[in-house]
Amino acid sequence: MKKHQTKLVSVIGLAAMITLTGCGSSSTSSSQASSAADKNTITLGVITSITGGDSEFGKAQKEGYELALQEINKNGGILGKQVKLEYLDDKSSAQEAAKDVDQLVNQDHMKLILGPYSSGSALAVVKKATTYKVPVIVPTATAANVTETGSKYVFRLCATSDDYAKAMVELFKKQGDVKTLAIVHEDQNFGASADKAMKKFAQEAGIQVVDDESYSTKDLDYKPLLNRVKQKHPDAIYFASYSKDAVALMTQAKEIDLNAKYFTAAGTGFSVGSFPKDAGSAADYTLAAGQWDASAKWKGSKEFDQNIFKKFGDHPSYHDMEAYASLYTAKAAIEKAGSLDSQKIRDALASIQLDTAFGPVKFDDKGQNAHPVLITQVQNGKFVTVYPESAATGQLKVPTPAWKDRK
Amino acid sequence: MFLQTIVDGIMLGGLYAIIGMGLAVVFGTMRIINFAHGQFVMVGMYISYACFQFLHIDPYLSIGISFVISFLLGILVFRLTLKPILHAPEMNHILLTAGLGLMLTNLSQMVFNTNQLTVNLPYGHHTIHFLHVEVNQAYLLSFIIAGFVALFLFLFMLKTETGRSIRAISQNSSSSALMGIPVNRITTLVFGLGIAIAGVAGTLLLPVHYVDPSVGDSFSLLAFIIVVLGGMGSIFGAGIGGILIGLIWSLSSFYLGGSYGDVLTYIMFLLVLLLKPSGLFGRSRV
Repeated sequence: MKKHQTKLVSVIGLAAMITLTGCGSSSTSSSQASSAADKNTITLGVITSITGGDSEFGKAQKEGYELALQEINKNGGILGKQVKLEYLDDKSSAQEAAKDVDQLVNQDHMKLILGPYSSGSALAVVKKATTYKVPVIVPTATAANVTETGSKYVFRLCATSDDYAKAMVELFKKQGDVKTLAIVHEDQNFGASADKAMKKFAQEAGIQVVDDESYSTKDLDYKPLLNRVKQKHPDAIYFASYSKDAVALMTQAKEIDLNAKYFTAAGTGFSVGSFPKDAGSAADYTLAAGQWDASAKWKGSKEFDQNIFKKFGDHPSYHDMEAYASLYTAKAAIEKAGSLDSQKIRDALASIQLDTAFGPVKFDDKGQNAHPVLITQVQNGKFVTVYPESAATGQLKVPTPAWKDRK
Repeated sequence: MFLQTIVDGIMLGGLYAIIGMGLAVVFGTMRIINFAHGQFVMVGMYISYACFQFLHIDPYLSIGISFVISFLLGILVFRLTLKPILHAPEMNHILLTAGLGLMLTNLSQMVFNTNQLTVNLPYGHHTIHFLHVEVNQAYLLSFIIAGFVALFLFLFMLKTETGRSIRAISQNSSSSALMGIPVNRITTLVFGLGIAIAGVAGTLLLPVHYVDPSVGDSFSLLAFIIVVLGGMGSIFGAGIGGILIGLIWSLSSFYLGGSYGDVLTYIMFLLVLLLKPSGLFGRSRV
C-alpha cells in the first residue's frame, strides 16, 4: 500500500509538471535579422500572434502593418530610408511574447517595438521592454493594467476595456430598459479587466449585476454556465471573449434558448471579421464595443477599408486599423526624434500629436491615447455602427428577439 | 433545469470516459502509466481534422481511419521505445511517456502550427428536444458511439481468446507466459489498442471542441484523474469515473459558477486519493 501511494504522489507531481511545461516550446528561428541601423533601411520589430488561439487577430494586425508599410515605402520611407518589419510570433502566449522582446532587443537591436496583440502578452512585453528602456507602441490590448505598470515606455493607441464598459452603459442608460445585467468573461487579463470595469460602471448607473461568470477558453462545454445566466433572466449580457469562445458561447446560447434584450460584448471575439461567418445566425443582433469602422469620419478611413479589401480580399476590423495607425505613429515619432535612438523616440512619442485614419493620436502622461469607442451590431451577418449617433451607419435593432421568434 | 444539467454532465462524461478507458486498458495490462495519453487523443483529433479538411470525410465517418492509424502508431511507438524498458523501474516509464508527449506536441506544432482548428458541421449546433431537455446532436452522437466502443471493448475482453489472454497477463504475466500465452505479442497489441481508443476519443471530441497542439495536456491529466478515480486499470471503473467527473463538472459549474467546475473536480479527486486510494472500483479488474 505504501509503495502504491508513493507511486501516486510521484505520478501526480509529474502530471503537474507536464501541464506546466506543456506550453513551453521552442521559439521561432529568427530570420537573418539585419541590425536596426542598416545603411539604407530601417527595421522595426513587431510582436503579434501569428499562430495560436489569437491568430485571427494576429492575421488582422499583419494586414494593417503590411498596408502601412507598403504606403510608407512608396512615399519615401522614414528619414529617407526604406522600412522593413521583422515579425515575431508570440504564439498567443505571454511567456513567448516576453521572450520575443529579448530577441528583438538583444539580438536584433531594435529601438522600438510594435505590438503585441493580447492584453496578457502586452503586459509581459511592457514590463520586459521597460527594463531595456525600449519604447512599446501597443495597438490593440485593452486591459487597463497595461498602462498602469508605472512604465514610461508604453504608448497605447486604442481605448481600454474601461472605455468599452462606459460606452455600453451609456447606451443602456439611453435605452432605459436595462435593469439587470449578467457578465460572462474569459479568465485571463483581458476578461478580468473588462469584468472589473463593467461592474464599476454598471453600479454607477444603477444597473444591477445579477450574475458574474468566468470561464476558461479551454472548457469543453459552456452550457452549464449559460444555463446559470438563463436562470437569472438578465435584461442584458456582457461578454468578454476571444474568438473561438465567442462563437461557442453564442451558438450554445441559441441551443439552450438563452434570451436577453441585449447581447453585448467588449469587442474582441465579437468584433473580428470571422465572427458572423463562424457563429452564423447566432451572431445576429449582438452588440460589440469597438474602436473603429470603415464609416469613421477620420481622413483615410474609407481608403483604408478599400485598400485592405483590394490587397487581402476581406474587409478590415478595428484590429487591422490599430496596427496600421501604429506604424504611422512610429514613423512620426522616429521622424520627430530625427534618429533611431530609443530614448529620443520615447520622448518624441510622449509629446507627439498627429492625425491618423484611426483619429487623432496624443498620449497622456501614462501613455494612453484618448480614443473614442463606438458600438457595432451584427445585422444580417454584417457589422453596422449603431452608437454613438454621430457615427452611426444604421439603426440600432433592439430588443433582441427571442430565438424562437427569429426566422 | 436539474435534469438538463445532469444530461449535459452525462454527455460530457461519456467523452471523458472514453478518454479514460484507453489509459485504463494499457495500465491494467502492463502497469505502465502512459503520460502521453492526452497527446495521442490530440493526434486522433488531427487525423480526423485532416480527413475532414482534405478528404471531406465527416468526423464521425473517420472513426475507423483514426482507429487504424492510431493503432499502428501505438504499436510502432511500443516497439521502438517502450518495449526495451518494459521491465525497468516505473520512473523510466513515466519519463519516457512524458517525453513522448512533449515530442508529439511539438511535432504537431511543426505540422499544423499552433492555431486552434475547428470543424463546422451543419448539424453541430442542432438540438433534440426530449422531456424538457435539450440535447446537442453532436454530443449525443459522440456519447452513443463512445458507448458502442466501450461495449465492444468489454465483449472483446470477456469473450475472445485474446481478451482472456490480456486478463491473464494483467493478473500475472510470468505465469501467463508459462501457460503458453504469447506475452510479447499480446502486450504490443494491448498498447496499440489503448492508443487506438485514445485516437477514437479524439475523433469524438473534434465536433465539439477545437484542436491545437497543446490541447492534449489537459486531457492527459484528466485521463489520469479518471483512471485513478475509477480504480487503476479497471476499464469499467474508468467508464464510471469519466461519467462521474462529467457530472461533477457540470453540476458544480451550474450550481456554484463557471469557474468552480475544475475546482470541485480536483477536490473530489483529492478526497478519493485520501479516503480510498485504490479508487472507487479498485478491486475489480476487467
